[in-house]
Amino acid sequence: VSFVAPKGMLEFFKGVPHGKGDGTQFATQFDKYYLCLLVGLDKRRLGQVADLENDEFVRAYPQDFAAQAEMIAGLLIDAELDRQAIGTSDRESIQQVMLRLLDHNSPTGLSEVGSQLLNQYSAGGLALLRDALPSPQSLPDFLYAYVQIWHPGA
Amino acid sequence: VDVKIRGWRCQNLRGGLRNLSVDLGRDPARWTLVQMPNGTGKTTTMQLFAAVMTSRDWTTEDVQALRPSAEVTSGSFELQVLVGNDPFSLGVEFDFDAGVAAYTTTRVRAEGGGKESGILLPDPLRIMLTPDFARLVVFDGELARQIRDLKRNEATLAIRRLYRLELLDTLSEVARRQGELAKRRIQASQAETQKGIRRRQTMHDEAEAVLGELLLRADDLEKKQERLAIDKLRLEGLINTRVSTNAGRGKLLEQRRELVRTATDEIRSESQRLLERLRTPAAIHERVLERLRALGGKLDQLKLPQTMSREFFFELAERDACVCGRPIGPLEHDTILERAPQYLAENQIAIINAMKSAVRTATAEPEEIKRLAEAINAADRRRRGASEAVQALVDAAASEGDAAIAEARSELAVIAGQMNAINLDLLALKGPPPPGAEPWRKSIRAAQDELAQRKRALEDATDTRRLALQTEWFTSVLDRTRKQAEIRLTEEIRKRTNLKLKRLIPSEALQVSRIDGALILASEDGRERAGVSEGQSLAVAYAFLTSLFEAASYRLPFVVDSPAVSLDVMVRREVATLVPDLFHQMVMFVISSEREGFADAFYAREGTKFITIWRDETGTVNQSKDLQFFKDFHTDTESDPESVGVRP
Repeated sequence: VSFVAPKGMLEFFKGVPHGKGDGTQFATQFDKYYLCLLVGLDKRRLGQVADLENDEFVRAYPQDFAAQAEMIAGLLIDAELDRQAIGTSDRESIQQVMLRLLDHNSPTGLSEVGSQLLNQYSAGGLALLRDALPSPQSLPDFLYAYVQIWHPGA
Repeated sequence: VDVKIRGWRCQNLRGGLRNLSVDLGRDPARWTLVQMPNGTGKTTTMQLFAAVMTSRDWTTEDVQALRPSAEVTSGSFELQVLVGNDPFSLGVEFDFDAGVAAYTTTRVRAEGGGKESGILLPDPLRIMLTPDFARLVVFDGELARQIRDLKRNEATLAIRRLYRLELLDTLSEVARRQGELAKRRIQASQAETQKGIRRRQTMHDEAEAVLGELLLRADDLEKKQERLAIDKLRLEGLINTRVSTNAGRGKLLEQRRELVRTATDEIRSESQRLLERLRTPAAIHERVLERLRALGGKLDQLKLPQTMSREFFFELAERDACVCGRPIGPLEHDTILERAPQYLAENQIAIINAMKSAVRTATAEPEEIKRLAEAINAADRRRRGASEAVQALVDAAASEGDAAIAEARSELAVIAGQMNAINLDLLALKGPPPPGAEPWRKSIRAAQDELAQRKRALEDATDTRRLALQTEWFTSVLDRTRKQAEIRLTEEIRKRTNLKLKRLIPSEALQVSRIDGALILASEDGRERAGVSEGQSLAVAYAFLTSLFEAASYRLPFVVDSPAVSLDVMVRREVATLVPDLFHQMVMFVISSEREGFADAFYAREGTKFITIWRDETGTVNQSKDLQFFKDFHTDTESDPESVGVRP
């Protein structure tokens, strides 16, 4: 599976294209996916499989994110332990969650199940962003508003 | 390499095998006759020979059949062989209570050595000694008859087994199965014909052309956009000049424009910086970093991931014994393999450890992130203010009745409209694919996807077709190879058999005319030969078997059970004269009634060893290596109630 965009992500970000990565545009589509994902993971908001596009938009982490693969896997494990209400001392269940989510053979280090869940968290994050913000007209507008979501009243 | 039997040892087995050790010496004799009365375990010994040479499986019933009495809980058999100059001791140990058998090998090695689990003969020998093949080495006379039996195809099977021709059949079968899969793929993709491939090529070319057109159109629009931007600059410059006719206003305008530029640059660079920071998940908020740290701490506390990886257990399952020394049998092997996936793989462990170490060095940067966001916001406010101030200056100049400014402004409005339209067109071309049918005709991204898909379909069709053709070719080569190999080997073995027969039975001119399942004999005139004595028939079978083994890289000993028991005295003499020279080591198990005509033919042969094994009234097993004793040995009981046998 790897990375599948939430349905409506490109539509929401249509005022902010990707490609240049020069402060006026996102560098890649993954930037948009990731910023949604962070919100979804933080708020433990898991979207539906039906909220996802049919095809992956990229198979592996883009260069900008390659060093973050383990952190993202860690956040996913953390969110899943929380969502499944697994106790902090339940060694067996924690190990099972890691077994289910990680796969050393995939380019992302995540299993099919892990990738699918990550995509669903991104979809959950997009839903939250859509509720909180109007469709952004420029990258600076969006980034400013995005930081306000994380640090209200900043 | 010669393989020779040096001796064998039985411990606590049923029949005459309670406690028996037969030593053929460091340099075993070429011929050994072992005289054992019926019921002392002759057949069982032969079957144990075959078992340790081929590591065949044992059923509980087979094991129980060897149990001498209820109070005995274990027994063993050991065959000592020389492979070249290297001694090997091949053993099987029986646990009668559990009904299981375990193989062992004792060998001399540079490192380790000693008793090891399993039969550990050198690889080429081990691969050669399949259970089917053991019939050719440990031989019960029945096979010799079957080799000549026209209703059977034992001779051809023996050739196939020795030269492993069935491997070519297996390979061919695998290739055929793969080919079948490829065929199904072709049918599924309906590209079974050249026509199908052509259709896919056309579809591919169409998508390629559409994509090319869309890219050209986008390029065109971008060029127009650039021209309009230049026009815009020119008009703004014009307005600038007109506004600047008033020196004070001109300076102000320049300052305000400069403010707009610097604010815009600042927004851009701070946005870039902020986006870069945001790409590190832990930086965005203390909460995120705390959660990652808590997870790392939790894993440390629970000692996760364990140091034992899944790979460790995969490797362990393939060993003969566990690290604690307990043997790993098929059940343990399967259980370990079944449970291994409950452990993390090495790379999964690496991912988690990398995560833990990344978390240790990560920092949250909420203040920096808030600062950057605020900087963007402040710069944006400055930019808006400066823009409005510029506009105010232009408005002031226009209101003083400067027609050129008014004209330039109306032109600028037109340009803004055109630029808007171009932006919309470009967005449609380069933005997300539109809904509706065939979005790939309108959107570059959709066209790229469509082209990639059609390209894959085309490659798939051409590749599958190529694969199907290659499979067909490959299996036909394999089939031909197997047939040719079988024909050539059979012919070679037939010729060698005939050379031996010429030497063995010069008076009869007995020849094998063809090997077609069985050996078919002909006389000199080439006609099929019917009247062949049983002795001759056996000699033919033996000549065939030895010819078969000649080309193999290992010369094996030949162990035979009661070779003469069913033959009349005349035939026995013939066999005893003809056969022995064919083998480099023969171990013949005989009963006393085979002495006449068969065993006695060996009395004068140099290098023959005679062993008699019997059980006295007390049940003790005795052994004599004296020829006279062998000759005189007499027993009343040719059939013993304790006689046991197991099927190999």
